[in-house]
Amino acid sequence: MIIVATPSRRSLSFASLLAAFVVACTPPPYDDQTDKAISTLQSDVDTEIVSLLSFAHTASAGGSGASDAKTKGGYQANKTFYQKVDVELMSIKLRVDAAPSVSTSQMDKALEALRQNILSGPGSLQSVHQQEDLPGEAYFTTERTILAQQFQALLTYELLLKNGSASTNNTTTGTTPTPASAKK
Amino acid sequence: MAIDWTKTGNDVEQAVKAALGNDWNTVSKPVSTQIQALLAVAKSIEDEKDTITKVEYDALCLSQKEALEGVLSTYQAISEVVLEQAVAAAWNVVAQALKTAYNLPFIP
Repeated sequence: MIIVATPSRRSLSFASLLAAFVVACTPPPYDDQTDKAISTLQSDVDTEIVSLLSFAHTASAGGSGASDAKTKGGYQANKTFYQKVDVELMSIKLRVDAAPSVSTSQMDKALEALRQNILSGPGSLQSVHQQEDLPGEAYFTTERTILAQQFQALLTYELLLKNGSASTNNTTTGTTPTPASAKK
Repeated sequence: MAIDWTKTGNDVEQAVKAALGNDWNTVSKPVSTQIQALLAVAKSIEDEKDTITKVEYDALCLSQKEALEGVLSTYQAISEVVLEQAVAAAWNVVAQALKTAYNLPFIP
């Protein structure tokens, strides 16, 4: 997994935010399949963006590889990536919704915001990729930072749940983290 | 003229405080962190202002707003309407700072 560097203060504040949320509500059960699916999605998205960054760099540099980079980094050549992300996002949503809790609607909103930013929104990665075929490095770099914020929030939340239910890894019945342990 | 990001950060915070009202006291820490993330994105737009396109700027603007709403929506204290107003107010300050400093043609 590619880790995007973030200030530790931010991480702590995310943790504070999510810990407060977990404490305020009855927390949902930890589901390691959801956790893994979010990690896989994050890794897939980041890997794709890094690849596109490389193509954009080569294309903008000109030279003999520019044409090939434009083709390989173009939307048509990467269409299957968006289809894969669509499937992965739907799988995560289904798992979250399968075990409803007080936080389901919040998780759904966070996942929908991610979907909007990668796939379906007017400002999504897919939309810009379609419109420009191969957007510039600056766009990919900044979009990567934005998506990292969203993944970080989701993964931090899963980590809090995991820490709260460390005594069991039962993903079928799940174990509700206690507020005290979830505060960690 | 380079942007004074410290002042812009303070202006963003004031705008968000005004939009959130009493909710600010509950969520000031996480929101402040998200404001820093928003400013980081705005700074990168400033750094790349000569190469970025209108399509890319508009997309990044929408994307950052969506991310902010998505992250903060996990906090139940803020209603959806108030959250949208706060996010719009925050980005408006940043956009005006970019526009004033560089008169970027793609910022309305």
